[in-house]
Amino acid sequence: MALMRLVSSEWRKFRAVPTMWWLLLAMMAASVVATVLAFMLNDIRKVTPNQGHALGEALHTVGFASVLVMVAAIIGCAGEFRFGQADQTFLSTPKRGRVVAAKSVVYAFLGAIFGALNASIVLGTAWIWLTIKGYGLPMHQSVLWLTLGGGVASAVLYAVFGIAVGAALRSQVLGIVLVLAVQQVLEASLFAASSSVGRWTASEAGDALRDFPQQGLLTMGTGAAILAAWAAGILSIGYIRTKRGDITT
Amino acid sequence: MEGNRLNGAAPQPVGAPGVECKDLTKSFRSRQVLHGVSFTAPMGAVTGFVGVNGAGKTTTMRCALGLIKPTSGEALVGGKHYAELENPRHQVGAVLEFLGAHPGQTGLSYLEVLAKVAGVPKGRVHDVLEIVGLEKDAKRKTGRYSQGMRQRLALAGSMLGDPPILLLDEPTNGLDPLGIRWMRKWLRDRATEGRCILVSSHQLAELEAVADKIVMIHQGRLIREETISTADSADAFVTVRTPQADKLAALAVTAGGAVTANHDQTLVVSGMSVEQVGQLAATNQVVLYSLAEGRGSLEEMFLDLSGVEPAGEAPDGSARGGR
Repeated sequence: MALMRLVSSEWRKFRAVPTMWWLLLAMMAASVVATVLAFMLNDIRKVTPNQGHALGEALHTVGFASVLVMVAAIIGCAGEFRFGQADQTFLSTPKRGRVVAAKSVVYAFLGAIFGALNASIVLGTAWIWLTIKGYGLPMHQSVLWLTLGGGVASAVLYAVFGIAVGAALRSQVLGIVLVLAVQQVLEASLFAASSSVGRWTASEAGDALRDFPQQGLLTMGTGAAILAAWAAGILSIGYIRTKRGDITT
Repeated sequence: MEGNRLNGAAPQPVGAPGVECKDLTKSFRSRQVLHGVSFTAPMGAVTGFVGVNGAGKTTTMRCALGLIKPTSGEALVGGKHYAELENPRHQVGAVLEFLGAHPGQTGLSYLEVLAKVAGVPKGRVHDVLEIVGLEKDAKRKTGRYSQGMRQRLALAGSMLGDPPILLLDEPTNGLDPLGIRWMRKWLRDRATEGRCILVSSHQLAELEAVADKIVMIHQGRLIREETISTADSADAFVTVRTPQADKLAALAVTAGGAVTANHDQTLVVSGMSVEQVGQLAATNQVVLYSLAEGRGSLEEMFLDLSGVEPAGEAPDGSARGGR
């Protein structure tokens, strides 16, 4: 009962912060633009856009949901320390581990919503583009559903990852900058240098889960397990810091 | 604007400890900020927690609220550690240095979130908004609130669960004189209802008018804990103007008083009541031009005990704020 009240209040907090809605809007706009650009690139390369590798690449914009929900989760968790909300949160719920658990549940749910919404937008954009171009959307191709389904699952895990980072670092700016730098630069460079090592990183595991057509990545299932392990590991650090650390906003 | 109900369990009778700090110490890395602080704030009273900025007031309060873990010692609210309280919003209310609202959040939404997690009915949100006089501004974003409005909203939040114990850290910060006057009455009324109010301030004069008990802290050490009546009598003095100042001074010292002779035939006698000094003068046929009792301010008492020097000299060379 207490946990349900806590989950409900975390949901209310999310709805009350305008930044979150802007992130959602940004995701929707970026997905449309990026999907169209990917199909335009396919046009330039003169590849058949509605099958195999080319389709997989175009649909990969489904990954926007993962990144943006992770940013939202970092803000939702670390942002509490920026404006002193953490004081009120822990005064209401002195058993602090419950707060981390409730935030993880709420943002995982939001990850599913962001992911599903983004997948729908990508699917819709792809359908419109391919119909205009006279190809039609190949509903029977597994790459379509694996990419979109993987995108939703990836958004859920990235949301938990974001809560973990926020709880561990307690600084939304540091959290966002650090995670983006590590995932987009460090891990990508590591994968480029050695795919056998780099594929075990969180971002490359996420790419695998979203069925990104790139050689050297893990399988979807293994990617999901590795991304979940990363999220769980960092969440443990965040949980311990939240439970034991002083709240000195 | 006023009005409240005390339905949040008040198990402790008036006079019982509402907040208790026992030998509280706290170090942040190598810096020790609390050195064995012990005091109690009783139910049914306003306890003023005073000290200069950085004295350790906020750290002590945060220890009591379970936000900071003491290095040693313990802090109890309602006889328990904060973390052990079931549904704490119904037992302890707190105002801290930050409101704890996102600037984009409305005042109403802020209170609704707190109410939801505390299991407080929605109607209570409107009750507390009315108590603090913010009902018309409830739908404005907190980022556009004045400091005074933010303080009132924080007070509203602290009252959501109608708790018997309130810990208020510098609640008058940013309030205008009307707001401060309102706050004093608000604190008094809550104490009259039987609640324990622990209120910190570095503005000592503010607390003098409202506190029943004073706890003074300086550099992380408790320097005084007394009820106002005891503190008053300990710091009371009698001012006498007489053409026979030397004679009366000698008599007062013999009677156990301490005497300071000022210019203009004036003596300041401490350790004796105004009645005792008057009787002494009459018995010994000492002529008096005036006889008056007085007492030092809380600020003066604090400066005496802490050894803190007033911050600067006025242009005429007299000390600011000092006795």
